[in-house]
Amino acid sequence: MRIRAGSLVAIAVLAGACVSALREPPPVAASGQPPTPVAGASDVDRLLAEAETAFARRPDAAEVGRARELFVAAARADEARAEGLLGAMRAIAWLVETEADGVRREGLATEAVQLGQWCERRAPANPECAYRLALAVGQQARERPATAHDGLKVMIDLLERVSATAPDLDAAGPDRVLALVRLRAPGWPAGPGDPETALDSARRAVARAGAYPPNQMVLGEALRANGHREEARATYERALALAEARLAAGDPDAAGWRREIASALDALR
Amino acid sequence: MRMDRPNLVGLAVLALTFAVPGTAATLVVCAPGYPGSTKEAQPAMDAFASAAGDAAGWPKGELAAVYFETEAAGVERLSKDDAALALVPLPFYLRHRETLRLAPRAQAVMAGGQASEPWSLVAGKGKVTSPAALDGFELVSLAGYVPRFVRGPALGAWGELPPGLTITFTGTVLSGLRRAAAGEKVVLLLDGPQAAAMKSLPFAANLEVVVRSAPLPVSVLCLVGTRLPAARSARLLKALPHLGDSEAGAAALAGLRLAGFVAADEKALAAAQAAFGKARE
Repeated sequence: MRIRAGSLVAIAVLAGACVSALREPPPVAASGQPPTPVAGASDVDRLLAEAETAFARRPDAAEVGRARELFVAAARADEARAEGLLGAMRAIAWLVETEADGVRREGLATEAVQLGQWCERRAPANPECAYRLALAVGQQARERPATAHDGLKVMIDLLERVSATAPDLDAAGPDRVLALVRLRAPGWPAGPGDPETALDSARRAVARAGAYPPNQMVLGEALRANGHREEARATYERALALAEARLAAGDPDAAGWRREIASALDALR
Repeated sequence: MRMDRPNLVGLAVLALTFAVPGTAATLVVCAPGYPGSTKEAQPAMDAFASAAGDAAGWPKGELAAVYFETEAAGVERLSKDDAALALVPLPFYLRHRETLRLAPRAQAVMAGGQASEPWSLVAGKGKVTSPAALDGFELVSLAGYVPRFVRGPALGAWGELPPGLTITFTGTVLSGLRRAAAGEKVVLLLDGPQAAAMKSLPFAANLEVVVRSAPLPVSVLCLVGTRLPAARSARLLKALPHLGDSEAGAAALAGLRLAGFVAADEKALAAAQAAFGKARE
């Protein structure tokens, strides 16, 4: 299965009736399948370890689905900890990008938003909760366009907050995702789309974590959007070399990056 | 209740009478520079086609709709035989009305807007006081893909624009507004929503509206040639102004960010055509 080009952030446009992106979430116990037997707080570390092992087997979707269940089980087992919620959000984000069925994608995206809201409540000082919630809101906006208008505002607020407090999180993820939002969202005045500030964010992401291929990829996209085709091409070539190296090292996401980069380079020829 | 055979036959005949069979017709929505892609907009287009078709009493599936965000793609799609209706902005209509045989029948009203709205020329404060002062400037606009629209219907009444003015098309005017506010030789021709939002910009104090056009139709719903039989188009055009009366219709309109449809303002369209005809390319 191919990871769609939109990656984690694809902004729905022509959004219909405006629906709030965040609603009161159901209890965490309503997520996933009830574990058998019911796990306790002492099981959390084991569940998290098993979940990480399963998640590392992507692109095997069944294993990622199992990782999601194990992460959720860990989140249920100890309501004081947030690692299970964060792991489940990572797994769900991956599943949303690979799921073919639109109804199922929408359900998954909504579940990730709800888990992110619980994460913020359980661990308000943990910036990764806000970051993963922003990503989930972005996916929800794509799968449920009615939430896009409000969702874009929520995303930008969350990402700017995390960019200020934890800019290195997820290999400069806050600036990388801010750049993507500003590149792909409708432009002023309909939305926060703004290629110039996107380029600033992308440059900040590369300055912090230039070896991470998606940062070079978003910089390439931002350069292209600002009319710098040659610089964009050179940046994508750099991204390709980095992705090839990651692929050779066994990074399970590298093949998807390589496809996206090849497509971007084709468009620049 | 028992229904005997003759009654069933009677119902079938009745159904055939009312369900005028016809080939599928497509509404082509083209808005160059506006957000969204064909793929992203398709769910909203499907919902609109379904609601509009139902409101008009057309058989299910006989009205389709598709969106294009580029002029070239819209023109190409409109050249196909099933493209019987077009919903396009005024500059597109004026440029292509003859070659595509576009006949305006209604105007779309954007959510929060009017059927006709002025275009506003915006410059850095104190930079531009007359058309002649634009010599050597760049004019940036969503309507920039039709320079003749800029020179005619939008700004023709203000005066003749100098040949040394470069007209540029873009869907993202924010960069141009920043440049104008910074004192560069850039002006912007903004549509209604853009002009209304300008005051919220952090650098708005460095910008000013130099001139506003008379209100011009925003978006025109046209028949394309005679591809749609008169009886079918009449039912659709009669139904569209009432589309928002039903829940499904209102949701479909909201999906396109529309408040509804009104009859075409023939006088305003004729005036725009005349101004367009007088302007140079």
